[in-house]
Amino acid sequence: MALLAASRRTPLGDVYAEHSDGVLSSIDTTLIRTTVVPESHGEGPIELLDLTRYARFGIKGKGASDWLRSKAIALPEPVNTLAPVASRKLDLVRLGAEDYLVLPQSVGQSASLAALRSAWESDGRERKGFNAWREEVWAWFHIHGANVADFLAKTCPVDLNADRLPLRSVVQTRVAQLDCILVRTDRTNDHGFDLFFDVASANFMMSSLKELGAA
Amino acid sequence: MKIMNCPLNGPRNISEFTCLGPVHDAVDAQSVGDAAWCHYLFYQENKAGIIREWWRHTPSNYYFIAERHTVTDEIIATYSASELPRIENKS
Repeated sequence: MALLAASRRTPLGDVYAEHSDGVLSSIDTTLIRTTVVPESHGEGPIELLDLTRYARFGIKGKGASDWLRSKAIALPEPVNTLAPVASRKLDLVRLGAEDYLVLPQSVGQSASLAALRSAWESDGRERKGFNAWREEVWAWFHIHGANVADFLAKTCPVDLNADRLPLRSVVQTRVAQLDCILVRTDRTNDHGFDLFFDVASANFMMSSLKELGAA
Repeated sequence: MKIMNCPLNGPRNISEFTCLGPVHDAVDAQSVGDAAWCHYLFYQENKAGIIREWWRHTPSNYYFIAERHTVTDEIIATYSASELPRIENKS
């Protein structure tokens, strides 16, 4: 019980403590990888990582773009693209004219993200967008593998092949019959997508993808 | 599956969209009479032909306008609400 009281859980029940900075690799090696499709006939596996435990921050609404510009952050153009913010080691995803999601480039390193969040919270200006509560309401998975686009084609209506959807593209569509945002990040240096969807449906998403993998 | 063209996200399955009813002029809630207010809330023209409707692309929560033929259910055009004044001036 002491463990439960002191730690947080992802929607899939993965117990974790708040992450301190200093994890050098872009993916924490302690993460549990779920194999959705096992390796077979010389084709690599398709694996899924639950990144829900890691920090992210979203703002939307009137003033959000101006606030980000005031911090010397170049906005992604057009909508539905990701732009790296190299100076802050962040990735900025644009989901709408005034709708942004900020991700750490290295998921274990959240100091820069926390600083940006803190600057936004303490800013007294009237129009700065509003907090979209992306940590609280969205689960965050990463699915990757050489054949990940073919695999997701079983459940996603958009063509996700690498030649149709370049790196840093964003697709807002449905996966496993759930509203889902896919961002092509290739964060394991493999063809891969970050998935953001309703946090209460994380278990359903996981079991649906595993079932599809077994089919 | 029927395909609808979202002005923001491109062509998508119709199951990704929600129809939110015909576009009509707003009334001034402070000055409008009971009859006009009732008409605004509960009556729709329901004409046979091409009408303008509000639609929403659910995964991105993007609201836009579609012109749809109510008899054939054909979607004639879709565009951002910001384009409506320009389109109304042209027609």
